[in-house]
Amino acid sequence: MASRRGEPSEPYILVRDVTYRYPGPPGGEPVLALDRVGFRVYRGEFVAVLGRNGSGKSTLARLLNALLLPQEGEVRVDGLDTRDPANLWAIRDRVGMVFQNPDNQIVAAVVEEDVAFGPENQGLPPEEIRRRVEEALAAVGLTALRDRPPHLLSGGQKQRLAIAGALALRPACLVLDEPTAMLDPRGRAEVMATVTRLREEAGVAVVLITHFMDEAARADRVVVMDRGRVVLEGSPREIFAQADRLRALHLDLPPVVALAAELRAAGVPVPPGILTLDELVEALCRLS
Amino acid sequence: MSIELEHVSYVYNPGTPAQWQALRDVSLTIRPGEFVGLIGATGSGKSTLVQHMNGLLRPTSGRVRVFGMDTSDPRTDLTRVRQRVGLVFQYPEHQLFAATVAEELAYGPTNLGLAPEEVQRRVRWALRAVGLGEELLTRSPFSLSGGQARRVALAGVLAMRPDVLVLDEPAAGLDPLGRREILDLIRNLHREGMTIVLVSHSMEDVAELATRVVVLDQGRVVMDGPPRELFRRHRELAALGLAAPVAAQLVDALKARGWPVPGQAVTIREAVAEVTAALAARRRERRPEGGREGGRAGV
Amino acid sequence: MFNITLGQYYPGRSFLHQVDPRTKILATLVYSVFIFLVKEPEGFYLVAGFALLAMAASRIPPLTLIRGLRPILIFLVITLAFNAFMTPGETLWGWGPFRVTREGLAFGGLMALRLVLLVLVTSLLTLTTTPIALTDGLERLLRPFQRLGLPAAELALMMTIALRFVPTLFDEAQRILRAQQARGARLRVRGPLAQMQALLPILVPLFVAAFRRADELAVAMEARGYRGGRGRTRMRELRYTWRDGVTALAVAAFAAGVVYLRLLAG
Ligand SMILES: Nc1ncnc2c1ncn2[C@@H]1O[C@H](COP(=O)(O)OP(=O)(O)OP(=O)(O)O)[C@@H](O)[C@H]1O
Ligand SMILES: Nc1ncnc2c1ncn2[C@@H]1O[C@H](COP(=O)(O)OP(=O)(O)OP(=O)(O)O)[C@@H](O)[C@H]1O
Ligand SMILES: [Mg+2]
Ligand SMILES: [Mg+2]
Repeated sequence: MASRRGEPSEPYILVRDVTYRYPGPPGGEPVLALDRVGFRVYRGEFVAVLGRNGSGKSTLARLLNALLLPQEGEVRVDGLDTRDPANLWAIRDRVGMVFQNPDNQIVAAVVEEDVAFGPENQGLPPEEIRRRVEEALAAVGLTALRDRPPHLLSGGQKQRLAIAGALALRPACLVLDEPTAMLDPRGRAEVMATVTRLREEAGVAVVLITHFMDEAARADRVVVMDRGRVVLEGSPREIFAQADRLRALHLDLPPVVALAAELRAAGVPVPPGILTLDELVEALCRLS
Repeated sequence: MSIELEHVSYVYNPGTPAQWQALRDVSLTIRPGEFVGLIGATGSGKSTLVQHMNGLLRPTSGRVRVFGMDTSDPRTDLTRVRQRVGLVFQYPEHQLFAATVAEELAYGPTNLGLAPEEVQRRVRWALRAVGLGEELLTRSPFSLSGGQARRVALAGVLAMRPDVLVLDEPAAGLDPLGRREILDLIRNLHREGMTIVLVSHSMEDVAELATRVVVLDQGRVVMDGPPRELFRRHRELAALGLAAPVAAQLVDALKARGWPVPGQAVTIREAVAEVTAALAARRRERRPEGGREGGRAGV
Repeated sequence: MFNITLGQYYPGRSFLHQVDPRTKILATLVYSVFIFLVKEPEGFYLVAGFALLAMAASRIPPLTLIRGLRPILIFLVITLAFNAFMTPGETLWGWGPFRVTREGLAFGGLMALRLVLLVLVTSLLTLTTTPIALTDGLERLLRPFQRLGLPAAELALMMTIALRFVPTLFDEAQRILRAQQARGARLRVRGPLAQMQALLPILVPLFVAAFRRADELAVAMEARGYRGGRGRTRMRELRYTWRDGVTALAVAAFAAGVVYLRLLAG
């Protein structure tokens, strides 16, 4: 696996040789969900995690903020070992988490009260909580809807609310587990725009788990899992150049990349490594 | 006509603070053999609309007729309506309940009052139709993987042998291969003569499969037509919270840059055809004598 | 199909909305106890008057409140009928062995009125208080008992989850019901055993869904640093205001009135 971005000092999150088994059905074998996985996230980096259903992505995500603890190997966040109970809250403050179904992660009956939930748990004084809530709502563009009951929000808005709830803890890393699975194109675009902006403006590292290849194409680095192991890792360009390998892993190319590949197969000499529609248009225009 | 909706409006929780008008004056006819893609932003009323198609919801005003049966008429046998129009809900695997897959699949046909042998025949047919093996029949549906459970749930509806199959986001949450397999399966059912209504947030899938696209916005039908015509209206789609498929966006962008493309493509194959044709045309222009070969040369 | 106005928050900024949840909880408790002390007609003017006052202070459309009574309609009818037939006294109307008495009708009417007022006032509590504020209030009220080993914070959390999820589970139940109906499910069948069997396709997925949701919510809360309520602060501190003084006075006056009437009669 090639080294990118000149190996910045220390990874912010380090997962080393982690194995995790769920207890199986009564009387059955335990389920091996992660098999000696290695994984790292650097400060401010955008990592996409891909993999077929059941490949262990969600399990990995839950290990990153000590919702699950490694049975073998270790997970360190900002140098803190997740197995040490004394580190638990410090880790949860550093790594925020957003899940697939927004309805199951909203606790309060009013938007701003929901955002306040995290800082309230941290025991911050009321003025500081207010400041955090303002900041988080502004970051996801929900300030105008602060008094709404969450069930009146659209899917995309609910998911942005969930992101605001995580941001209010001022995490250095945000882990999103299929945050766009239930959204329409606009909702997906809203969430992706929010995520990219957070990274650019606030330097928050992002780990995005997704089944949408076009979302992964926007990451700095793509990690592909299969049967509890990391099997591919690289820049989106490197990963999406391996169409056959991806298909064998039950994955696919992003639509733009697939389109470029089909053009190439039909004899149009588009250069390799195209990821966005704009790049494809430019490349085609340069041809003629 | 398979399903006819005339001026259908629907209000949730009328007369409470939670009152909400989810459908406004929707008129729509689903004809036999069609493959209708139903798209719209979240909350636009897609799920509400499809539940009218088999009498699960009855219009607050207006009329729904399913193979001539009026769903609001108290004399209509709704079980017959539901036999003819099968509805697969979003995340249908969440509705599995039986001890074995065989029992799960037999539930629908048994409710129709069929003889046990016929029920068994349909169970096996449905299992095959979704591409699963008979060794699964004795397994618990709760022990299946996500993709398998989704197919069993789909088979549970297919076992009723509906004429029309309505699917609410059947591929949500599946990995790309699982998604492709489910869509291929639906395409096959359509080829074998089943009428399909597919609710989806994926414009690529709808463009690939549907023969007709219906767009909902705030409970109204705002567009209705063949994908080729509809997906060209990028700006309108974007305003509705939707997007055109990448293929359509590409040919549109090329056309805007002065390429001699018709700008009609909505699928990848069609876009490739337009681009290669345009390149070939340019090459001919440059070499009027004919040059060497046609479009494919010189790579 | 399910009417869930009962127990839902009705957004607003009325007097009652702004009263501290602790005050509202205590006031509701006092009212619920004292309503059963009342026996004489004058007393009923008092309890009804207090309820009307509270309704006015909530600015919730009366029609909405009255609709919220629909789920208890059947209990009202039973209460009224049971008392009307079972109380001995002057016969108003007879049919075979059944006799409706004047006393029975009066007593049944009062019982039904009590029930209506009780439900109205408790639903005012939940309609004007967000679930979070309600649990906060409850937790603060229970805090003194923590020293006796009562897990106040955990109880509050359980209440939050329950309140947050009742409407969601209703929706879920409805969705599952419809999905099985789409497969031709028949819900009304003969015989208790057959009835149980007919309900299984709905109950099994509903239980699975309830567990899944509870589990996902618990994980989401943990991920946001929830640690069982210990050391938790609030963005909105609960603070008593003049409104709580006014409410306390009104409740005290009401209670004194009831006691006075009781003494007068006794
Ligand atoms: N609570 C659990 N108990 C038992 N087994 C589990 C549990 N959660 C997950 N598993 C199993 O662990 C493996 C990895 O699951 P995980 O949820 O991490 O996969 P995933 O990559 O997130 O899949 P998906 O794309 O479907 O979300 C799977 O085989 C799954 O069946
Ligand atoms: N049981 C219900 N009670 C009240 N309102 C409802 C109910 N079900 C849906 N609605 C509302 O009706 C509108 C249409 O909902 P519907 O579920 O049909 O939308 P949809 O197009 O399927 O959305 P999605 O893409 O998110 O599935 C929404 O605003 C929704 O909030
Ligand atoms: Mg997962
Ligand atoms: Mg829907």
